[in-house]
Amino acid sequence: MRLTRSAALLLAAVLVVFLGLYVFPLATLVRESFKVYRSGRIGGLAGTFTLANYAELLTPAYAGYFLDTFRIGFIATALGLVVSYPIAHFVARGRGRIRTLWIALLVAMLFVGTLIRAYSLALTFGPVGILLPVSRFLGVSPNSLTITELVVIAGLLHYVIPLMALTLIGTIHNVNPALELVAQSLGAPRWKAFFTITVLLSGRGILSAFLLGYALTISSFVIPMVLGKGIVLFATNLIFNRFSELAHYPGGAAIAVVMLLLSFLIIYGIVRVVSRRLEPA
Amino acid sequence: MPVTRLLDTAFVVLFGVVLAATAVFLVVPIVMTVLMSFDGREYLGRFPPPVLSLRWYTAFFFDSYYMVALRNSAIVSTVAATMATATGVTAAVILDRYRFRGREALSAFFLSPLVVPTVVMGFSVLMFLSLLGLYDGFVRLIAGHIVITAPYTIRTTLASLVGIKRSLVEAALSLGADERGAFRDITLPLAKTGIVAGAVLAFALSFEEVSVSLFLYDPPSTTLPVAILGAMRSQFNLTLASASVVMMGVTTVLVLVLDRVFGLDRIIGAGIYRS
Amino acid sequence: MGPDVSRRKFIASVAAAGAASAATVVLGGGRAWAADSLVGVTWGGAQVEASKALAEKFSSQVKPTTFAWELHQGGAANILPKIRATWPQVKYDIVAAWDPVWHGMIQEDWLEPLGDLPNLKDVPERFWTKDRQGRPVTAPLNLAALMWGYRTDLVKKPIASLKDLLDPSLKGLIMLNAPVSYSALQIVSMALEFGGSEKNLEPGFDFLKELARSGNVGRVGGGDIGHINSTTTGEIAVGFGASTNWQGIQKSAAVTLLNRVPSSKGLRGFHYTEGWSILRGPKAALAKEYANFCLSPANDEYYAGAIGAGPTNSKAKPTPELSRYFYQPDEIERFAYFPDFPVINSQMQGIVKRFETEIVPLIRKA
Repeated sequence: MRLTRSAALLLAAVLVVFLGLYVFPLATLVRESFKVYRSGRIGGLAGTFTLANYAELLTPAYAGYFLDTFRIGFIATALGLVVSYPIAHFVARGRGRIRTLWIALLVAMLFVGTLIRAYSLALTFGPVGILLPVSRFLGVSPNSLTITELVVIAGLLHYVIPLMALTLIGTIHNVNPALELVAQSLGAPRWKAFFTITVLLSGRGILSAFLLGYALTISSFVIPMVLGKGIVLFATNLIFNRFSELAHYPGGAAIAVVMLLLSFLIIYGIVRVVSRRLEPA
Repeated sequence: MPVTRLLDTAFVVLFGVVLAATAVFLVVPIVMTVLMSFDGREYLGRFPPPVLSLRWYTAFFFDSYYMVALRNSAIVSTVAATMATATGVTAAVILDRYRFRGREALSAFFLSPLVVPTVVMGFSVLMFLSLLGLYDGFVRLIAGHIVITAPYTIRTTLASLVGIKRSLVEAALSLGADERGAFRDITLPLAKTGIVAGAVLAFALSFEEVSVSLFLYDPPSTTLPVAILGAMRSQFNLTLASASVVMMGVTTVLVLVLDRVFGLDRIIGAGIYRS
Repeated sequence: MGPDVSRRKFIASVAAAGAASAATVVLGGGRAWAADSLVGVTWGGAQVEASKALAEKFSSQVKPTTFAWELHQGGAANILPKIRATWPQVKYDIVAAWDPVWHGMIQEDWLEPLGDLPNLKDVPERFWTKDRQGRPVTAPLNLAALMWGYRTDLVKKPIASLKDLLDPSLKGLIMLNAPVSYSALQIVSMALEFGGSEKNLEPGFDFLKELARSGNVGRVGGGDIGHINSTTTGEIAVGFGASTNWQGIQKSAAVTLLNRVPSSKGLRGFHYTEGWSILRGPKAALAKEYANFCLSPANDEYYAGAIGAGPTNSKAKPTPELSRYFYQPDEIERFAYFPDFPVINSQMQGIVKRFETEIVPLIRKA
């Protein structure tokens, strides 16, 4: 359906909100990223212009950190999705006590608070938790990069599963349960019916949940900071280093702009590809 | 065929195992948080805590510093979540119902604030609002929180709208409803789950938000996470844990009570296919 | 003509004053309009409590003043964007900070000169922070010390020099601070140990690379809280932190401090000052009175004791229990080090970049 005038007006209203609270502030950020920064000063020098803050990032080390952010975020989100879908399915289709408890758990988990969550995760999965016996079992050093990355992923999962599960409940609600039964009565095994009917029909919802989770994981900073022990660095950690005593706001702004551009491209790419394949019948 | 039957059973069992394992995975750190809140030690030590104490709870409840901050958080988060939900639902419905050029790009654009680290968002909003001469803490906080929570409400609502076929609305229209009536009576109730999920998410995330808040607050509008972080200087203040447990407890009780009184289905909706 | 004109003039002047005050409230943004009030920023916990106590005393003994307090979120540096965003319409009148942050503020010309504070003359000049014109711009209230230390129960072989950090028995037990923490002083201490200085950090980076390759580094960064928590949970054993950190860690286990090691050039107590700085603006005069009040021998002694640090006023008595962290006058020459913060500040960007691009990759591979 083409846009009606009232719809367009409403959309414009939303755009105004985003413009005022998001685009214009980001514009000041972009402007900051082009300012000259001198070590010892606070922020960029007004009225200057330079590309140095971006040129700084053209080293393999920084490319590596960006890659890490997108890679680890992707793994955590994908794993989270695989696990969130059954939960959402159970809550959407189930009844009874356990279902209510699941909803209570998911909602309560949203209120844990980022910093305390990171520390309780560190106590559970980290070097003072089950990590030592687990890493011994796997035959790896507890300080190795792989183990640290696994711990970060575990932390990110904790962050992202409640979110994705709650998003997917709404999707699965609107998928006809009868279709699965129909498929089974036509001879399909349960697992095949599940995957080819329910999962496929919730495709657009799965996309939404995945994008939500992915956006969240790549922009998280407390979890990599506490659980990553300073050797797993996300782009956000790099930004945080620059926004602190260093007061290198132009540098932090440059990293943020690069992150934003890369993420926007990736997200747009995913939306485009999946939307095409899932165009409603 | 027995093999298919076996695969089927294996599938069901796997499903249950994944659920149970995830439940354990999610619950254990929560239990850890609860234990930390009762930890009598003045520092973060290994599990299990040797001495239990209520000090972090008394510190939380009997200090007006935290209670005022709690009140501020409640105000900011409620207002921000309400406005974010209104914005989000509007955007989601339009993105879902209409086809126009640049729809996917707009969809990605509306999601993009999530990708901006909250530290950066806070800094940018601070800079911009200062250019506009807006110095009031509450206004700045609400503005900042709206922009970081609106993407959630848009996405969760979209996730729900996805399954609502146009034919349902068309049926309503053919029975005499107008576009707005069809929206109000058909689309909105069926998307309720997504809308409620988005509102809850927006509130929760705004409530525990600290990175944006620390740039935008001023003394009268100190929010709870900012208050707790500020009190931590050279000691890991476990009031953080007790505040968390209180919030988790309140929401759990709320969910259980709402289920008992109204039935959760009525509140979060049950979608098209349930009565 | 006379009375009419004067009445008209009077009304006009009242109207003008009213309009001006209304305009100030609307446009003036944050500065509190009430006649005698101050907005202060300081650290939470003991700092703000002690500052509030002194504020009450000031209000009753010197001049009735209402104070509003904002707390530092983490490091003092997080207040800087808030000042910069609104300068010169800043709502803060008096800001607690420490040397590196002050030097940044000096570069931005934000600070009011405090040379005329009567109590400042009781504070040794070595604790003053001066602006580019050589004028003191801070009211230093307390001394703080940074030092290496370790948990005695977790380290088998006692550490006597920085070279000992390379011992294989310390695998994964050493914590490195993020360079921005403590103004890269951990790296400065490594540089000093191997013949360098603030101006020549190369020996420090060489050692840092060796340490990174050795696999002994268990954690990088996390700030004060990260240091304390990692040590109290036993995740790491050896670290570099403020005296207040070590006081917190001591509650969990015995600690050996490396601030009195005669044979080492790098294992020293690195001193810096904390205290008030006053932002230029209409409230500067009142803020100066309060700062001066806090600097009196009695008040400085109270403040330093309340927060667990050494006083700066030479007539104030230091707390005996803190002698572990702070030196007697004869020890200062042997063990204390007063870093050159402006020199470090001017290199900080390069230090951070080198750390991220050269050191962290080595730790990751180890």
